[in-house]
Amino acid sequence: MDDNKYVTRRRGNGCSISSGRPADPSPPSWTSTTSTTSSTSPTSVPPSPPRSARTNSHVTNPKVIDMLLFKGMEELNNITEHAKQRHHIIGQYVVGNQGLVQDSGTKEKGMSDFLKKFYKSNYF
Amino acid sequence: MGLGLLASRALRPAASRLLRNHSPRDGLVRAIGSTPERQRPEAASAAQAQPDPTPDLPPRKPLAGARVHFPNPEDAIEVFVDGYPVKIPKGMTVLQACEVAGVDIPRFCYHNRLSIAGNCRMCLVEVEKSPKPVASCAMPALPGMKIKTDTPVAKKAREGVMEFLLMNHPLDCPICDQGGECDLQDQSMAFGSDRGRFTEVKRSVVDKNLGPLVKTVMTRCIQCTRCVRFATEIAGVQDLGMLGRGSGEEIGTYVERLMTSELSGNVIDICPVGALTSKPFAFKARNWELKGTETIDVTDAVGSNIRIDSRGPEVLRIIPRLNEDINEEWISDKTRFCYDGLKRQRLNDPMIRGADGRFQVVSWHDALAMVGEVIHKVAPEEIVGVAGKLSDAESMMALKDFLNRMGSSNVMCEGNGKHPNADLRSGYIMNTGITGLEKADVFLLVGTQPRVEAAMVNARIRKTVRATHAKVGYIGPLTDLNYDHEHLGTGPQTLTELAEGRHPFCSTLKNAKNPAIIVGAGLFEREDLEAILSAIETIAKNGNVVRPDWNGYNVLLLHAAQAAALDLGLVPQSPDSIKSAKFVYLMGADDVNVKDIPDDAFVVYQGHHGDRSVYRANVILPASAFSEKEGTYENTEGCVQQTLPAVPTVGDARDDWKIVRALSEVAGVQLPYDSVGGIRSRIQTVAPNLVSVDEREPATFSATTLRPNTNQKISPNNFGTAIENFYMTDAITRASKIMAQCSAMLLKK
Ligand code: SF4
Ligand code: FES
Repeated sequence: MDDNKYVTRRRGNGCSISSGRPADPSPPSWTSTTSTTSSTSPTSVPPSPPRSARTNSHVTNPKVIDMLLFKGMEELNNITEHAKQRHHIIGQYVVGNQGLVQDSGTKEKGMSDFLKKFYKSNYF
Repeated sequence: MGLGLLASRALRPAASRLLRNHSPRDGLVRAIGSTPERQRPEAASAAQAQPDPTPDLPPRKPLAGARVHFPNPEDAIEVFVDGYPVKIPKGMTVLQACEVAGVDIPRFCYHNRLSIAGNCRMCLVEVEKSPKPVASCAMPALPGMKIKTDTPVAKKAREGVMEFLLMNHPLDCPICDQGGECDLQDQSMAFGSDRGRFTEVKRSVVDKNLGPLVKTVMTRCIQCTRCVRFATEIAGVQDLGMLGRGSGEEIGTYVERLMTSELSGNVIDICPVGALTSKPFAFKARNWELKGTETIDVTDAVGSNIRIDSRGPEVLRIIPRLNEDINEEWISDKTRFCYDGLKRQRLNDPMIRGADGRFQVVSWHDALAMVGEVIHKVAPEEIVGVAGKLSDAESMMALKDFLNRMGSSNVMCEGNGKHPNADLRSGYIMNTGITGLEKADVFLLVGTQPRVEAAMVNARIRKTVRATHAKVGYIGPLTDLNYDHEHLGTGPQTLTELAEGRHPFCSTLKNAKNPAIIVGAGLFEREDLEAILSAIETIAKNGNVVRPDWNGYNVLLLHAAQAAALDLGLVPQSPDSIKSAKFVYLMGADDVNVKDIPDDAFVVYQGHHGDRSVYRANVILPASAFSEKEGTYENTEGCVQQTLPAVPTVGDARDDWKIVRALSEVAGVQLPYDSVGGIRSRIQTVAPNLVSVDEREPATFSATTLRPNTNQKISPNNFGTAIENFYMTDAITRASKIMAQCSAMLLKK
């Protein structure tokens, strides 16, 4: 039952499966066992799982959805059962998210290449 | 020492000899464990006693490419190691001779920077005409000595020692943090037997509490006494010692107390087993999971060479790298344990302070647009830039160029004071160099407490004092130096006496062959700096401290950025510009007095930690920390080194110089470089020495007046302490929990 809650959150936006319960705002229990809180805050984690769910929002084939759901459950179990190591979790859900970069659209005209790349990421 | 290396070294010579004398099978049988030969080693060696034909092995090279230095060529002697003749200087031990001959002798207690104890017996070798195997680490090599390192006698001896050591050693490698980098583990695999005969109950020892940094599991201790010798000899504290005899022998602190040295973390590295390990690192990772990045430390001006061990995006530990010229193989506790500060209080996103006084996360685009707009609304002379103590040369260059293009020349660096003199390089670096301090025979410390300002420099002074009984005179507030010194006085008063030759220490200085004066950079903040420096100059002149062959005038800087900032000419046009500023650009500057900044000034804070200055900032631009970027730093002796990125930046942070470069474009004064290479060639035109990495460029010699004559008056105020809390000096260390624990527990008076 407890697992379900996270499934909802994981597949929250753009996915038809929802238990209808609001997401619990307290940090998931595994953050304390893996002490991920030292590298991230509970508030910065939630956007990552829905984002990975949204990458599959175009899928309509029920078989594929089933499979994705299964994979999602598996992933979740791996996390809650500590089969996944702390640095895997951090690598997947904490860093590497591009969510904070905003698209600056048409304002980019006249910018140097450097500035364009600068707005995208630190690594170029 | 790699296990494979050891094993093959143990195997190779043995196998080839055995192949000649015996059937091939015998040679292959011996890998680990006792062989028939070793059951009766004496008989076996007797059988082998006939003179060896000229050896057929390829000539061996000294271990790790070591070079032998002959102080006196006549004193060279020749010994034979496994039949090879090697020339070594007189006074070397048998173990060192073997090293020169390219044979690695297993050892536990011997450490080449510590005194010889000779108590583990692991280094036993056979010496011809000696009735018993000898402990090679404690035995001086004598001319013509025939040393045999891979005879059955030597092997049996090692196997026996190993069995004894393992008798009382717990078999807890799976839960031991040393596992994978443990000398005992490696050497028992290479030299030990495959079984022991001990069936009794192993002894156990109560763990000791050595403080927040060093974790002890004393049952694992093999009584090599390296830690005791390190504490007394290098760290200069009498905290550790050996208690009890025989199987009751224990390492401890005599009475229940903590280890109070600023170098205590190094016992973790020298302990050959898992008895002393890192407390903050305990059970965090296995050493083979870690990625090592060779970089340098920036928490003080020494630039100690370190390796950052990381796993994924996290820094898990920091350990020293060997650099004979700077930190030898030690680092201070601040360097080693500050890393948890890299994870706390980090600035992730650009932020703008809203009308309600709260910060709002914005995009880089909006943040830069806002700064670019505001900077054009103020008059050029009201723009001030301050580089922080952790800034690298690239970002300081960019900041200076940017503000110059905006029409302002008020760019400074924290810690360099109001009137920095950047004209003469010899006036702000350590001219003798850190190794050069070992040649000095008299030290005069003026307003500096090297033990807290630069622990590694202090360790050098201590090494010199121990080795040559150099004299140390100290002027400044009462402090705890871990070597014999004479406290001459507390303030400029004493300096004047010395300059006028009225002080008894003057004759000591005058009689010295290589006198060294070390001036603390804490004095840079004084109003009467010029007058003090000219008094020191008089002392230097009288004591003949600055000569063509010896420049003993040293400035001990406090921060990693200082030397490069002065090289790049980060000197403010008007000293008090910050008090009338309307736009202040703080690039990682957390120690500026925010009260000096006028209330109506617009403050941009660019940095990696939400430290002091953030509270006054209007815009926050998140930057990367030293572990995440490539940056050039110059240490206090003028040696230029680079950091390398070990982990990715956090959140949406960017490298410092990139931020300044991007901002310059938004503000319409685009800087002409787009890459690190570009910015380095710009640096080359300003300070060419900053691009020759890993080299120390000495300052050009100038014996004549270091600075214009001054008519300033020396103020009678005593010298202060530049660093109040050794463990917390910058944004990273102030954010560190471990450092906070240290300051709470170890600085308690
Ligand atoms: S604690 Fe480690 S370094 Fe100290 S005596 Fe024991 S084994 Fe040697
Ligand atoms: S290394 Fe020689 S006795 Fe320990």
